[in-house]
Amino acid sequence: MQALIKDGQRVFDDPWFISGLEDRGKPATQPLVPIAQFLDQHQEWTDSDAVIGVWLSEDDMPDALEPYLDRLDIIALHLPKFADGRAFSKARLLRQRFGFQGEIRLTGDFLPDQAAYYARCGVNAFACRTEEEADIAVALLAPFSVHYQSDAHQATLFERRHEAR
Amino acid sequence: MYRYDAYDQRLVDERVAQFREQTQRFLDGKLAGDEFLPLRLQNGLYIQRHAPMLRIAIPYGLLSATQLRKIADLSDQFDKGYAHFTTRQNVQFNWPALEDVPEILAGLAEVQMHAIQTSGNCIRNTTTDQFAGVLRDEIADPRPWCELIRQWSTLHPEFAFLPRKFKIAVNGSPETDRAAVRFHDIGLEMVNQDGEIGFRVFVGGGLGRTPLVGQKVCSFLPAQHLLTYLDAILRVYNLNGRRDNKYKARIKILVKALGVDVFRERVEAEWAHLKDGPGTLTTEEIERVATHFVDPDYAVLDDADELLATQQKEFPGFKRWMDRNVQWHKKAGYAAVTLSLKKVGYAPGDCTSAQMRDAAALAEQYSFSELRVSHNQNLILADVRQDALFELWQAAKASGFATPNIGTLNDVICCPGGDYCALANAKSIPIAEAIQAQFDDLDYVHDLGDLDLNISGCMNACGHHHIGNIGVLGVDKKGEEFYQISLGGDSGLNARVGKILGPSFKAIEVVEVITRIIDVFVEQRHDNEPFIDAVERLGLTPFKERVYASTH
Repeated sequence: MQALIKDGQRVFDDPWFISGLEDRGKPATQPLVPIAQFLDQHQEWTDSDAVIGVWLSEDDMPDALEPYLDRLDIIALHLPKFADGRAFSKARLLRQRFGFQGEIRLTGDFLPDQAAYYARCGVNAFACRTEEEADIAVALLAPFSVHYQSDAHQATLFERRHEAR
Repeated sequence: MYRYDAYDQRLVDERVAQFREQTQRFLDGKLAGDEFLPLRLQNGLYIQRHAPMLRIAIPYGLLSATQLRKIADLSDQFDKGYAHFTTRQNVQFNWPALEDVPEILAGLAEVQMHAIQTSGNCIRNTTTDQFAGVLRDEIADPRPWCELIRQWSTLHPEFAFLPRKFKIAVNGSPETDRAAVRFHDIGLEMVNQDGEIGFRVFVGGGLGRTPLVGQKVCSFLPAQHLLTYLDAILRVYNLNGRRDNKYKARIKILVKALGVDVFRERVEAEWAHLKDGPGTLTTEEIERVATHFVDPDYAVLDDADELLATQQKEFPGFKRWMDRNVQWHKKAGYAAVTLSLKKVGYAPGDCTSAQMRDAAALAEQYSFSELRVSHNQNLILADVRQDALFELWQAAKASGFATPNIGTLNDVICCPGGDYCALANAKSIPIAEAIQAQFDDLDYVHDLGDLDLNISGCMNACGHHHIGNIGVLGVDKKGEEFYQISLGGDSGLNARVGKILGPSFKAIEVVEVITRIIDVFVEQRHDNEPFIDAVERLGLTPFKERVYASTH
């Protein structure tokens, strides 16, 4: 897994790979564990000193992770098809409802053009499909300087309008 | 009407720049067709049977004369000099070139317009009563709430890739429902509870393949909580709606599968986290938006009853037009006028650039420079002085807007159908024209009274055939076009889906079938009984017997 953007910058030495979907390879040494496996073995994981990463398939919901979020470094939301928009809501739940502070990474099939919406929902890392798309996605991360709705970073526009007065 | 400030303008300008870059990337071969698809749909651009089709948003149907003139100019510059007003109060260009679309959008942005989310699996244009703000029986003007919903839904980051499209409507009147709120994904009905304004919320209504009447999920939602409650409904839908089958992906299927009580529990549970959070409307914001919808500078007048009576006596044509195309107004001495876009020989809702300029000029002269688009595909001047009606009638006649058929059998609602639309199974416009040609005796049509006849070219039901008192649906049978007829549909407070009469008909038989239905009605009608009541009273049998007597 490369073609990575993290916090708005390209990253070239990321250690994570998706266990069960991707092969381990250089520099990938850290497995992102499927959520079911993590929940089965949560005691072992949380008792250890390991840096922990978990990945969710399109059908997995993040709610069961809530008790362990302090111990997780990274949660990956994997998309088999870019048209499936459930991960937008999952990212907001993780970031805003559960207050997850670590990395939320989008992996799988998504468009560079969707990155801006995902970023507003709280995703801060994008493993793009190709290097070229990663370059495009970096450029497209913030196409709008104003937003009507509140999101993971910003108050509603109506609140900002009143401040501007 | 709502006027953009610098923030609103910046947002649409940045949207144009975004789409220009996306279109260029597609034309350069760096963006695949199936990946450009959701991006262009969310800017209103379809690739259709003959050419692309661009659907331009007219938020809740409200339009200034300047905006309409701009649409006319753009239709001359980039299309064939006409446009089509739709059942969602929007307007469509049927022949733009893909390469020109960013330029068209830039032109629209100059007059505070856009095509954002007029298609795609996202929240679409919010609709309301075409007479909002000028009715005597309104709880409150629904338009500020429509605008607040427009802003909340515009580029909402969480709900741009929903299982399926999502439509919201608001009704402000307790006695009628011209917004058909019970046939929307979310329908909002304004309620005044002990002096507090709020909403009754219906979810899961809709037409299409599985027509269903929306169910009530909330009896009174205080107004400041509107947006957080909508967020809660949309989140439950986004996470739980079906994505495996596009025909089962609308929220109505989810509501039906869970049952409305379980659905409500889920929404309430979600809302408990969102309520009172960011997105809760402030009094200041509600007032800021509401100030855009205050009454225009009405003159102090009395109703012009005597003058109008004299004019109607002298000109029977004026009387007929008054009867059908003029609506009473909350303000004494004023009236709301419908300019008919239903003229025999023209597709329902079609309007040439010359007609658009005429309508803009009429709005400037007679109605404070504003117009509305109705879901019946007509244009409305909402604030006309009664003492100017006669003059307006003559001007409207000269422009082809004065067909006195509003609400009658002749005021057909119709989708573009197989002539233009790639989805259609059958043509719809020629059927509408044939029916209008058959019922061209306007006195006869008037005597028949209120009668909605709605035509859709396919199951997607853009022509709202399910809720027509008479519905006509185009179906494909082994490559041949057939038409299924239903009776008894009703979009109002007494919301009902029409019942199918029986086996479908060939195109050539449709006019005869409609004629027989009307004959049964005329023969069995009680004094001045509306068609819909007669169908309710008589049931389908007498209609079936007559219609299938010898045509099949």
